[in-house]
Formats: sequence, C-alpha cells, structure tokens
Amino acid sequence: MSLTFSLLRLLAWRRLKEEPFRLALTLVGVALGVAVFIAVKMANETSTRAFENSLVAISGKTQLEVSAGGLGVDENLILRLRDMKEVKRAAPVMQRHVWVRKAGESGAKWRRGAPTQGRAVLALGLDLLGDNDFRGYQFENKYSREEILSRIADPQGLFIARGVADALGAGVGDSVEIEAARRMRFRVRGVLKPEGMAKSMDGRLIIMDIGVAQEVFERFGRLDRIDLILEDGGEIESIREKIQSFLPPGAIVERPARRGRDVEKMLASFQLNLTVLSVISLLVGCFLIYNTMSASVLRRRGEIATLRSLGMTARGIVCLYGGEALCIGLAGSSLGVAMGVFMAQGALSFISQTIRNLYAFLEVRHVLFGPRELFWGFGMGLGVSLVSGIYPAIVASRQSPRQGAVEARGKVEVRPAAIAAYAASASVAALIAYGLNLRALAQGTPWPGYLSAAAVILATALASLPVVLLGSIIIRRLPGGAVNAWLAAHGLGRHPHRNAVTLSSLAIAVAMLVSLIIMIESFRATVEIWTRQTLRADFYAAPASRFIKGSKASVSEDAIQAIGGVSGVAAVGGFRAVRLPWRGERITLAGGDFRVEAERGRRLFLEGDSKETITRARERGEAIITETFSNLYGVKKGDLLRLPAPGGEVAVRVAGVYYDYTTDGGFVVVDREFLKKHWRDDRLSALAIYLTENARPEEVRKSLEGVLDPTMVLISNASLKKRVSSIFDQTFAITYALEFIAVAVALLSVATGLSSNILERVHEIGALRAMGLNRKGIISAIMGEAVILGALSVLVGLGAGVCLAAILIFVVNKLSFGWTIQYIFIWKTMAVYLLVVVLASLAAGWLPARAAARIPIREALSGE
Amino acid sequence: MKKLFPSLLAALFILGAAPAHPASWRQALPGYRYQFPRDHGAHEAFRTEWWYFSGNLRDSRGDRYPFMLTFFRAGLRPGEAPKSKSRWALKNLYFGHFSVLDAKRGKHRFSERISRGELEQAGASEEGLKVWLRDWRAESTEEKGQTSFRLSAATPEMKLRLELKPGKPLVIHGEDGVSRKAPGPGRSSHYYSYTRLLASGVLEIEGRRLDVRGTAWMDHEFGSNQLTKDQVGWDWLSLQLSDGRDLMLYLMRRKDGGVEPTSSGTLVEADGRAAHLRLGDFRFQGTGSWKSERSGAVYPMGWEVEVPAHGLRFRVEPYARAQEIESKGSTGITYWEGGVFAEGVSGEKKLTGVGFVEMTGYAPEGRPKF
Repeated sequence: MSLTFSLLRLLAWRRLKEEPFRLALTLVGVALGVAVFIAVKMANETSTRAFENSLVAISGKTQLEVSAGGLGVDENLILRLRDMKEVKRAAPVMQRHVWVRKAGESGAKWRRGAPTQGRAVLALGLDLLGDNDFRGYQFENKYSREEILSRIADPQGLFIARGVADALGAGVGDSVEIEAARRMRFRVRGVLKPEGMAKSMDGRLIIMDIGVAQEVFERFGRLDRIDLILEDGGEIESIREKIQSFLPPGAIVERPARRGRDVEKMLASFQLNLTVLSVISLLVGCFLIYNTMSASVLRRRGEIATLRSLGMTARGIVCLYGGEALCIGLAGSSLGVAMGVFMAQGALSFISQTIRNLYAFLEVRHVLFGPRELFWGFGMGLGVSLVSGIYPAIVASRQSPRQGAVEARGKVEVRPAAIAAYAASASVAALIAYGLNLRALAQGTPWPGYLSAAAVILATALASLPVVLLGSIIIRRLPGGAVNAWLAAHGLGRHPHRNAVTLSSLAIAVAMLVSLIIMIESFRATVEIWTRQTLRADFYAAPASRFIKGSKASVSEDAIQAIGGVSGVAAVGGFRAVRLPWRGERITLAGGDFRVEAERGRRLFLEGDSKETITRARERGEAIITETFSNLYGVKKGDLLRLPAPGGEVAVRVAGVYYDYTTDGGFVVVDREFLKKHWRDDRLSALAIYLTENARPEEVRKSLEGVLDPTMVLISNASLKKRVSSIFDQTFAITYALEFIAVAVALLSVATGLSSNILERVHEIGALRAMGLNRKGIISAIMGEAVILGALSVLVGLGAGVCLAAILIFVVNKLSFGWTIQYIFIWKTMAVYLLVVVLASLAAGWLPARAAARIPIREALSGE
Repeated sequence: MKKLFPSLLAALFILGAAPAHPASWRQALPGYRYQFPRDHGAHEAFRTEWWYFSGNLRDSRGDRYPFMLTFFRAGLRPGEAPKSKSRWALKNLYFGHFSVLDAKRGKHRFSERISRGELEQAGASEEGLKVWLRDWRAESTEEKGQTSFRLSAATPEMKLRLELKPGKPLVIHGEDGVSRKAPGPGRSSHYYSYTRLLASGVLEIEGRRLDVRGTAWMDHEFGSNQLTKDQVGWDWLSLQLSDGRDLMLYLMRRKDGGVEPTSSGTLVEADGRAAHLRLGDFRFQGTGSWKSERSGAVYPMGWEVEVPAHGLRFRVEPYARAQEIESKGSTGITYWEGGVFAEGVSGEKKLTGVGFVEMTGYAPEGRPKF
C-alpha cells in the first residue's frame, strides 16, 4: 500500500507537469461545484439563522406569547393574564417595520412617492420600565438610573441599535424621522450596544416605549403581542391550554419558537430550490472528473501494462487511480472550500435581497461560517471525485499486461445488445419520472417532483450512448458530407462511452438551462399577462413602510374620502390585508371594496366572470380566494371557510377562485364592509385609484400628492408593472447565476472530453497527417467533433429540458408555491441560448484541436 | 455593567434625583394657598408626591397591629405632555408600600407595588383624594363638609379595609405653607397631616379575620427637589399622646453627621391648634441601636424625646425591632418604618402615646438619592 502511495505521488506529480491545462480545468470544475454548493448552503443557513437569532433574541425569556395576527390583541387582556397565578410577568409588545432616516441637513431626504426610504428597520415597542425581565439590552453610554428613566419617559425619544446608528450616521441627541402611520420626528435618547437583540438583523433595530409605539403606529387599544414569563414549576403545555381556553376567537397563545417554524416553512421551498440548483454544478463536475480520469488511464496504458507485468495487482491499480481521483477531489474540494467562502458573501446578498422582496424583512451582512457547510461541501466534492474516478480506475485495473498498446489503437466495439439495454433503461427512467410526477400531484408534496427531475436526468445520461452512436451513424451517412465532417462523426463513434459521458454532462447542463429558461420565461409571461389584465387602476397608493415585506403598516380610511374629492378621480377602492391564525397556520384575510372592484377592477377567475363573481360575493357576504390559497389548503369554490373573528367564528362561502401572483401564501378576500363589520378594523393597507376618462394623470398626481399624507407612496400603473418586473428579475438573478456556473462546468467537461479523445487517437491523427491531411484539416475535424457533440447535447438537453420544465412548472412550483404558470416556450430566447452553448462547445474544442494538430507525425506513428 | 432599564426603579424615590428638567417642575415656595378638597388630590406640576397612612390598630382581644400604607407618585417629565391616546403613555410612576406588624407574634409583613399607570392600573385624581395601584386604594369622601377616608389593600397573606374619620382638623406643617428640608428656595415641600384619625375596619392576616379599631395618621406631601446632596436621610416621628395632643418631628441628617437646621416639627393641641416647632424647640435622640441582619444597616432604636416649652418628656420604644423595609421591587429604598409607643410625662402628669417612626439613609445600599 505504501508503494502505491509513493507511486501515486510520483505519477500525480508527473501528471501535473505533463498536463497542467487539463488538470487545472478539472480542478476548477470540481472547485466550482463545491464552491457553489457551499456558497448557497452557507447563504441559506445564514439567512435562516438570522431569522432564528433575531426571533430568539427578541423573544428573550418569553415562554409563551399571545397574539392575534395582524389585528392584534385587546390590550386589556394583559390584565387578565397578569392575574393568573401561573403567570409571573406579562409584557406588551408592538413589533413593526418602519423606514427611518436621519433628520436635518446631513440626513438623506425623503423621496416623495418612492417605495424605499432611508433604512428599513425593525421597530419594537416595549414596556421599557418592566421589560428587563424579558430582554436584555444595554446602552453604549453609562447613564444613571434617573437619566435612563427620564430618557425612557421622553414621548419624543427612542433608542437605536448600533447598526442603525452606523447606517444613518446618527448618535445620541440627533433627530431621526420615522415613517410609519405618519412621519414623526424623534430624538435619539440612547444607542444600544451591539449585543443580543440589538445585534440581530445586523443591528437594524429601534426600540421605544410601548406608549410611544402605539402613537407611532396609530394602534390604540391593541397590542401586537403579549409576552409571558411563567412562574417556576408550571407545566407549560397545560398553562398554554388554560390560557387558550379563555382567549377571544382569533387570538392564540403559543411558544415563541413556533414563529421560527413559520419562517422556516415559509423559506423552505425557496431554499430547497436553491440547494437543488447548487448541486447541479457538482453533478456536472462528476462527468468532468470521469473524463479526466479516463484520459489519464488511456494515456498510461503502457505504464499500467508495465506495472501489471511488474506484479502490481488489479487492486493496486484501482488504488493507484482511485488515489489519483481522490487527489483531484482533495485539491479541487480544498480550492472549492476557499472559493465557496468567498462566493458565499455574494450569494448571501442575492438571497437576502430575494427574501426581502418576497418574504420578510431580513438584514444580514456577514456570512456565518459554519464548519458543517464546509465539511459537507468538502465531503461532497471528495465523494463525487471518488465515485466518478472509480470506474476509470476499474477499467484500468482490468487491463491485462499484454493488452496495453494494442487496445489503444483498436476501436471500441459496442454491442447492439448494450445499446438496446441503455435505451431501455433510459425509457424505464423516463417512465419512473412520469410516475413520480403523478405521485407528487396525488400526494400534494413537491418531493417526488424533485425525484422525478432526478430520474429525467438519469434518463438523459442513459440515453447519451445510443444518441452518440446514432448521431455518428447518421452524420456519416449524410449525403454530400465533407471529409472533415465524416472524420468528425467517425471520431465521435470511435469512443462512444467517453463521448457519451461528455455528451451527458453537457446535455444535463443544457437540460437544466432549458428548463429554467422555460420556467422563468413562462413565469414572467404569466405574471405579465396577469398584471396587464388585473392591474387596472391608474394609481395605487400605500404607506411607504408597506414596502418592507412583512410590515403591518396601515393608514386611516379617511384617505378614501380625501382622494375621492380630487378632481379627475372617478373611483377609489380601499384594500386591507391582515394576518389571521387559521388551522394552526397564518393566512392573509383581505378586504377589498367589491363595489368598485366589480365595476372597474378585474380578477382572473378560474371559472366565471369577474364582475359577476365579485358582485355575488358582495351581495351574499361571500369570499373569493386566490388560486395559491386554494392549492395550498385544498379549498374549492363553494366550500365554507370558518374564520376566527373578534366576535366569534365567521363562516364565509367561497364564491370563486382567482389567479394571483402577489404572495406565495395566498389570500382570502371579502368585501371591506364585511371585514369592517366582523373584524372591526377600518384601516387601509393600500388604495386603488381610478381616473375619469379625460383626466390628465400628471395633473391628478399633483393633486393627489396634495391630499395624501407624505408617507403615502403613489405609484402609477406603469411603474407598478415595472416594479413587479424588476422584483421578478432580482428574484431569479441567483437562479441564472447558478445555472451559468453549471453550464461553464459542463463546457469544461466538453474540453476535457475532447482532449481525452485526442489522446486516444494520437496514432490515428498521425496516420491522417501522414496521408496528407494538413493541420487545418485536423483542427476542423476535431472542432467539428466538438460542434457535433455540442449540437447533440443541445438536442438531448432540449428534449430533457422541456420535460424538466414541465415538472418544475406543473409539479414542483405548483406544489411548493401554489402558482399556476402557463407553459410558454419562447423559441427566440431559447435559440439564442442554445446557439451560445454550441458556440461555446466549439470554443471548448479549440485547444484540444490545436493540440492535436501539433502532434508530430513521426512521434504519433512511432508506437507502430 | 449595569443593566439598562432597571425593572426595579431603584433610584427614583420620592425625593428624586437631580431633575432632568429642573426649570419646569414647580417648586414648593412660601405663600402656597391650600384649597381642600382639591389639595387632597395629585399635583402633577410637582415632581414627587405621597399619601401616607399609618396607625396602631387593635383587635377585639387587644392585640396590636401597627400598619402603614403609602402611595407614591413620581413625575417623569414636567410640563404638559402632548396628549396621547395610548393608555400606556408614560407620565408618572406609582409605587405602593404596605406593611403590617403583628406585634404579639413579632411578625412584620411588607408588600410593595409599582406601576406606570398603564390601562388605568394606577393613578391619582387631581380633584380630590383618590389614588390607586390596582386593588390598593385610598379615597376621600366628603359628607356635610366632613372629610373621611377609605383605605383598602390586599396581598396574598394580608388584607386591610379601613374607614378613617378625622378626630381633629388637618394641620399644615411648617411656616407660610412650606415645610423646609434644607436652606435655599424650593428646598421645601408642601406638607399637611390629619394627625388623629379614628380607624375601624377589618384586617385579615393569613386567613384570620380581625375586626380592628385604633388611631391612624395621614400625611400628604408634595414637592420637586427639596433635598440636597449634603443630606443622607431623615428620622421622622409621629405620636398620638394620651392627653389628646399629637406630635410630629423630623431631623434631616447631613453627610457630615450634623442635622439640618431647618429640621422642625409640629405640636397639635387636643383642640386642633398647631404650633410649629423649630429645631431648637425639641430634642429627638436615639438611645440604643439595632443592626439589621438583612441589610446590614444599623438603626438607632429607642429614643428620648423632649419638647421643653410644652413640658413634654418621654421615651419611645418600637413594638418590634425588625420593622425594616427593603423595597427592592419599587422605590429601591431600604428604611425602617415601624409602630412605636411612648411613655413619659407632660409636666408632672404621666403620659403614654402610640405612633410611628421612619428612618432612612442607614442602609449602605438603598439610600434615598439626593
């Protein structure tokens, strides 16, 4: 064994000297795969942790919390809770997101009508006199207790965490402005040390006394939450049940960790998607290593023969070549770990931006370096290298001492039975893929969908060999083909196994690319159609803090009156969305002005006319639900929904299901009058403003700005559509990035595959040269081979990609997010991408072709 | 490192600290004109205020139960706060201290409360005496020009409900409407007392229900920054004497060991006439001492009191030594506040009395802040 090791060292070193180019490509390929995996995993982990840490830090020692979704809990409830002998402490909490900026000359200006203002921060309203039992936070400056008290009692004072202080360039004594229900100016009365709660979410936190918070959010009489610490020795679950029994409908008591699970669940599908994507590069990397190792085995056939005749066992050979693969794995993975750490920061900013756009407020600056992720990435790189290197190693070990030189010149014959077996296996894999999809749809979980995608990839890999042979035969028989084309096709058919491997790696990458393009383009087209058809108001208005995802911002319904009075305004529709606990989860209940909507708005119902359905819903007190809601909770038209409301359960029948792409949790929408009556909430989350036919939008905008509170953002129809589209692009930016890396790795695989081919055909190339084919001819033959390989991969990949896209759209996406996406195949975009792949494979053929052309004739033939 | 927002607002005792907004708290200045029942209520323009009730109750068997129930209001910010619709808006802090001594068994019980006044859980009316901390409450009622008081307080181990009827009219301490605590303008408080209230009601201790009667004393004091940094605490005495007279004395103790010359007292005749006593008019001297194992504080214990001009001379002794109060959950002050009795002479006649002594500033931790 130690001899093997020494040999390995010797050979590996020599190899590095001989083939630095190919080795470098392979290492980069493995490293990229490992790096992408690690980067995505770390970024995912970091964002999940950021939520968790913030939750843990903010809930502090809270054992149970009472909440009632977006409507909040009646503040008087705290008295009843405090009177319970099991409850030691009960604290009021308001938790919102707001925009904050530094006031005065040096501060940034509010941008009128812009949805992003200053910095988004988490604002906590706490009973600062009694909260110390729950949460710990400290001032940077030392104050006497009297000073602290006077600072707390300042109705125009608040406290900012170091992160906010740094972001705004503000300190104690400075004025800051907050945009919440209104724009309000505050004095910074203290800066909190970056510890515990004040460190979470990168320190984007402000705290104020609960009395101040109720003013800021115009939320009187209600609290977002009541946190509880229990007396020692109580059994939490039974106390929880006891409290739940007297809570009003809609209010729930639960452990704080529960909210963490909600976040995890919300992000799970998104993160799983990314993780799956990140594995593709690594998967494609497999083929790369296989190619490199095969080339290595080929090149050393003579050497293997020598070693074998010197008495080295077959096992020794496996160890030797397996060891080499391991070395590649080690080096590539190490490089990948380093690159991954570097790339993680970029991935994190992509991912956190997407989470901010789609899910929740997240502020996180630094990647958490988890040894676990590094270990996993490293281990996977190593494992992949071993697995893909083992077959070439076994091939090498099977070589008899005599065989060496002979087979190098021989043509690899593939028996027809083997071809049939491959084709049959590919068909079986495809069938399994189909079956898995049916199962996923039946079960309603996306998991079998992912397995099905894996089966499609397997089928692609299995189909590669028959495709290579078939392709080679067809091209050779094409009438009027040039000799170079014939040579290229011939070359392809000569080593079908390895060419099949090269083809499958590229085909799989192409399949992924195709499927993602189809999915994203379909999604985009669907959303565009949807926005065109449903966003019909001329202007939309919403409080600026509404643009921080997860914010509960609202404004007074007086805005409807004010806007309605503006000349040029034909109608105003108010919209209110609140979160409600329902069936152990949280859903969004919305109130829309159905009268206005029926007349002027439009929703795309799965069946039935918009106006008719909405009018009926208004008249009968029924609800309409989004398709996402329908899919996620299995609720259908005609079903009865029982929703918790302050006065008891309210039963509403579903009048219709409509398409919606605004959230991934979906909505239940009722008439706003109905919401006001049963949920006693008359606030507004947003407004839709319709103009009269001959109104001039710019003039009306000016008048609207005159009557609207400055914290309201006014967005025109066109810019809202633009915004939807830009969020869309941001969201899929990382998807594209990951996919391009996978394609790059696949192209590396093409380059290494071709160069292995050339190695095997040194003799043949020599013969061709001797027969008079010039260097140019050799180059065009090899590059022709590359193009054929690329084109065949594109063909196979396209076929597989179309299937994968169908799985993504109809199974994975539908079951993960509940969205129905129209399957749209845009030829033009697709053609461009695929042409790029073919051209790239041509480029990948250039170096090996040049190398082949340089082979001296004499040397090539000297083996004879 | 000190925790940021102490849930136990240790420092902010009634007499407060260097005020954050000194200019705007109203000062207790000479010439103040009392108006009752308005002045029984809260004075939000002043920084600190308290309503203090103490007394010596006896049950039907003659067992003694000295009690104390005090409500404190500490203003957090002077001036008119912007009107807030929030029922959590922070303007005042309210503290409550409640103690009962079971003299026969030598058991002293104390309970305290704190509230920011959220959801009307604590408050003090500005109209007349109505101050409450959840179910602890002191209220005045006016009937035919006659004021009487109703007290109630409850804890898991003790409950008190009392009716208090004045046996004498109220007296205003000090001179020209101010009781001076230190030299300098504003170093004073407005301070008046009902020195003799006839008490009757029900006391429950650990389930034992007792009908109780006795005499009680009420103080109402308000001011803004009456104390100085040179002062360390005070000794205060109230006595109801068997000849119908009542006596109040206080000594403001300085850090240098001396006594503030503005320390004073009031002697109330049986018919209600009151005489102001200056420091030179009386002697109030500790004779023994007692060390609290709990706080480590050493208090004077047993006193000699003389008011020579009025022929008064007597000894004062506590019903129990262990009547120390550690108010870690509210004001943060450690002090001794307990029922006492007096024996002595008025001229040649023998004399007894019952009352209360309050001593602050003896514990190393928990001194009132100046």
